[in-house]
Amino acid sequence: MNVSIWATLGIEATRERADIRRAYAAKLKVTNPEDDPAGFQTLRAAYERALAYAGPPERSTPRPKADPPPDEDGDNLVVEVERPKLRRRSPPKPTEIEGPPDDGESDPKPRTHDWRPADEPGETPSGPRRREWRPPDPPVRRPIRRERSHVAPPLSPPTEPDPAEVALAALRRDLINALGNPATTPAELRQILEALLASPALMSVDQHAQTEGWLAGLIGFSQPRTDPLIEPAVAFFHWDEGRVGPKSNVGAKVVARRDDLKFRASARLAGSPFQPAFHALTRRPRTWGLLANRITPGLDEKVRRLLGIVRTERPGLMSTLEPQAVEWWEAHLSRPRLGPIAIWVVLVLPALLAFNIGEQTGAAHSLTNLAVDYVLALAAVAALVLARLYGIEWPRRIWRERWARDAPAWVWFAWAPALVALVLAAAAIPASLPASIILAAIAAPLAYWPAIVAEPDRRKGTRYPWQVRSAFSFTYLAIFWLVSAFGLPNPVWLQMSLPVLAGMLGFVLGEGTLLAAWRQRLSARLRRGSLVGLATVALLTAALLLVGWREPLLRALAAAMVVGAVLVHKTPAGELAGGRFRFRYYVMVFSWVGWFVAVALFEPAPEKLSGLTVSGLWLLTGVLVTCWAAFEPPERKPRRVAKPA
Amino acid sequence: MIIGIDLGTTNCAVGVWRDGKVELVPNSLGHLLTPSAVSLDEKADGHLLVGLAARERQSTHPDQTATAFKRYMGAERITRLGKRDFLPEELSALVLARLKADAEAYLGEPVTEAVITVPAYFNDKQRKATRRAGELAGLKVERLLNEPTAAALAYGIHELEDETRFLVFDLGGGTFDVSVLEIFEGVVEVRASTGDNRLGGEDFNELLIELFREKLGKDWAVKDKQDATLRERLRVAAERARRALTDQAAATMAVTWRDQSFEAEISADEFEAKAAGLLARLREPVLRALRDSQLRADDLKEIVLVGGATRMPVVRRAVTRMFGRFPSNAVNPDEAVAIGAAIQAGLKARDSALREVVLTDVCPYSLGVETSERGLNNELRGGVFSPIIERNTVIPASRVRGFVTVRDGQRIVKFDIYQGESRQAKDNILLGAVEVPVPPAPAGEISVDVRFTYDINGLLEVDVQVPRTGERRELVIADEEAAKAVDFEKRRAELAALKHHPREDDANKAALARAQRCFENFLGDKRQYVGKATAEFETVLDGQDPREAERAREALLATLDALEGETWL
Repeated sequence: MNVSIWATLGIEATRERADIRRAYAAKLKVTNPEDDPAGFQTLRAAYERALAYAGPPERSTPRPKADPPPDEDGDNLVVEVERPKLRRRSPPKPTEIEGPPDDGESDPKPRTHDWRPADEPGETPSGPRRREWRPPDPPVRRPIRRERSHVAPPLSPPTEPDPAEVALAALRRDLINALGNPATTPAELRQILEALLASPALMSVDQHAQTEGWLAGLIGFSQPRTDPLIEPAVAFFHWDEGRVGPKSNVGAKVVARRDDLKFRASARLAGSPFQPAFHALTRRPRTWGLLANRITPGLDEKVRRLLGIVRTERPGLMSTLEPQAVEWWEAHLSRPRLGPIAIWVVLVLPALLAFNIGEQTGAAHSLTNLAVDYVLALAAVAALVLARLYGIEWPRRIWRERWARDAPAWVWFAWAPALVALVLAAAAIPASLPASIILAAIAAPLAYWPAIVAEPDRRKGTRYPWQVRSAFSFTYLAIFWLVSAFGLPNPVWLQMSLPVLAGMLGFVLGEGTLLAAWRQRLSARLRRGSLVGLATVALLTAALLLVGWREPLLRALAAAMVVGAVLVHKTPAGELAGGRFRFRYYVMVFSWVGWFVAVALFEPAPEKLSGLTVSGLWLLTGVLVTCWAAFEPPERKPRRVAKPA
Repeated sequence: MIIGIDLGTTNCAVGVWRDGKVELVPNSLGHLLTPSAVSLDEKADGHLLVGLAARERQSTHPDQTATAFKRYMGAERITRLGKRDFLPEELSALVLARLKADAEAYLGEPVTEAVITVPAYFNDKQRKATRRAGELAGLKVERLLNEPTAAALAYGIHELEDETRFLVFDLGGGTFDVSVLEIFEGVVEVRASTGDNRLGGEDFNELLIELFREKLGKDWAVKDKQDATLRERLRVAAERARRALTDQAAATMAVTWRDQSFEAEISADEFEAKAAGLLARLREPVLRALRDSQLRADDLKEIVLVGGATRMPVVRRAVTRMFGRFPSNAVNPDEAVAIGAAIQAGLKARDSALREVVLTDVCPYSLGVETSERGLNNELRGGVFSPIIERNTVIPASRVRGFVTVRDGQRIVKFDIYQGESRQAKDNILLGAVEVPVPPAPAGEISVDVRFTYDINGLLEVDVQVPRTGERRELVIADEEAAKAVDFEKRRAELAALKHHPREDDANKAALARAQRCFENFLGDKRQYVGKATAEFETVLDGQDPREAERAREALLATLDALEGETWL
């Protein structure tokens, strides 16, 4: 809106509601909503903003009520001293939209929720602004202005206060006193509340609205004492109706508290996944308890989840958790630490090793020898564990917290093609000691890279931990590599081994990231293209295996390409599910047999179909099947729309 | 000349603005209110009866009569009268055609345009059906006016000089509307409008029928519960008792069934006790209206009662308790809406006396789209209703909101447009859908603007635009029914071609129908007496002398009044 609201209304900037209204009425006669909708919308928007600027209307008459001093939000609560004093919260008064004064500037910046282009006229945000801004007010109280049409006296004015209202006020006082008295049981509290809600005085809409606000404030203020009152109140006032609009959540906090309590009750049950975490967070930490915390496997993750939920969704439950326990856990979770399994390993494994060493060397089972062996083993294990902790966990944490957000894409993914290239290079470069050493030296950091930057495939829903799963999924490749030792000259095989090992390790450590990128970052067309490319490479490699078996270089290259194809195809294979997954699995299992049968049937030259070739072809079958199974034909499906900007 | 029509569930009325004031148009029987009833007289060669005559035939020929069809406007409910099926809007069209004829007879000139009132809480489909009904009747519907706003106009037209805030409490036969209005400087501004589409005088009738059944024992006529004739008789008896309870402390409900007469006495206290639940339901929309307009009951100057059901003392007492003061008697509850419609008609016609009055109305329900929200654990929750135009926004209104895509590589964004208040989209009313293609990108990067424009007649236009590509899609929530223009014309012609009894016969038909109803309702001596009087009247009718017929009719009606009590609508 480029025109000032005051220009639209045709008056000077003012805070007098009467003047603003008169101006609006005058302009309305000219810009009729029937004839000029657009002009009317501009006028109306200007009018609403001018009213907001002018502030809420004065109440011209004090309300005659039988209540004690007019504090509708229960400030005269009898309450323990150590509770924090509640900021005075008024009953649902008109929350007029307040905005900065308009001195001819254009619209304020769009809000986060109600986005609108800055030069469109006549829009107002569709809800009261969260931020309340008032130009500074002179401290003088304006005299109470009587409106011209004063509230007309009712036809037969009630001279004394209505007995129902008096009774209601008495019930309110009773409730407050009962809350302040620690001896009152929840059943008694509920009784008083139900008597209150059944009062006929609530038929009056003002009393109803006022009581609603008062009760919502009371329940919120005096938690957890008022917890038994939540259900009857919510049922009576329909606070959980789920209506849209900012004006209808007087009781939103109460409903939130009710949901919190339900969550807490469910978290306490024995079968709940949150139960151990809840137990840990509600106990004051003692020495033995802390030790138990450290060595219970899986507890870390559960506590982290529970804390996350309480922090973000259910802040009201924070008060039910033991603050010292929360503090200890937060400190514990934020440091790099030994997981419970690591602690068990560190304590137990050296003992086993010590015994084993003792057996092996045949040394006397004297305590000193055992102790020395134990200490040595302990040192070795501890060194490994600490190496993992400070060499991998800590750098990972630093990466995640500081570098991950701004890192360019290649930092995340480039290790994958680098590893494949390394394997190919190891095959192409003629075998020699210096070359092997150099390649090994490059392979180590390349395998370490995904350990820091990427995530392994930790998908839920599988029975085995990811380490076991990954190890299992690379068995075939390992078999192939071992078999290929017979097909390749030794130095070449040795030169390639470390890069291949590094490749396997790297892809194990980084499969999760690659999988995520495959699903989310690549468009369907790219995915299809890469699958087609992979299939082509697989076919080429198969051809190479069958045709070039004479040349050692070509054999090495073919082996490297097989390794590369298998490593790369793990990503689309990870996406397969259900029937396609099973199909691939069975193909892999039986194609080995198939190839064997083919070999036996045709009885060709044994060198031609050496172990390398057969197992290579077997793996390539798997790759091709994966490419076929993961191929998504182009589709067109409407998708749903998401959250506001 | 534009007329204003109050198309009510039970009764209708017509008014015009003439010579600087409102005149209510009497119908062919000389009454200002015409019952909303249509009946088929099979004996008379399939002629249609509209109005009081049809109303009387509700209990004698329930399967040939239709009443209270306003409750089903916009729905696909078919009523079969004789050989022909009618939609609710067609029945309303017949009533409107009759009102049109009455107005033309009264004004002496053809009438082609009308302002028709609808409950403020009518949804889009119902409003479109009302408009179609008007057009089927041959009227150009200039404007659909909300009933509480019309009542406010009727009340406020005398108060234009002062600043007042008042609340209109409209409890009609089938619907309940609450509106909070403010008048200042000649501007009549609706602050908030709420209501309950399923609460009305008929529900109080149901309570009385339940009380009646309880008093007669639970097994009374339990087999015939679904019988239309019995239901109608019970309803008439309940209505009569309800009116009696307005003045008396106890009333007798009497029903004749299977040649037996059943009576029960119901006291006002019992009725009030039974009605406690309904009265509490009356409070809900009032609370919402006050909350939405950010006012307290103290801030209101007047409570204006509209609708016949507000004559009940239980309702008046409840209103008094709700607001802490007695409601106003400034307007006639039955006529207020028609008067307001006539004023609006005058405003439309730009009558000079009304040039100083401007009316602004609000949209009583929220309009928005279905979206997904991302929860705090990063999970996506669909089916959430995001309002774009919030309820009680002054109309015409145009609001725009931005949304983003939810999936990577999303190609199409689909918006389902809903009307309602629930946070779950599926509990609201679906109005239509719009799709717009978007360029592929990661989730959350493409934003789409949705603009809703709601005009003063309740027509919603949806405008969806993707700023990045400039793609734009528009949808006007149009009336699919009227869009089939050929069908529409055919239907209109068919309705116009239906035979009606000539106007002059209306009064006689009404009298005969009433006599028939009384005959069936009474037993023994009374019944014979009614039969004799009816036969006499029919003889006179055959004589074809209008003045004789009129005299005989008056006599018959007097007889029936003496036996039954006064007639009412």
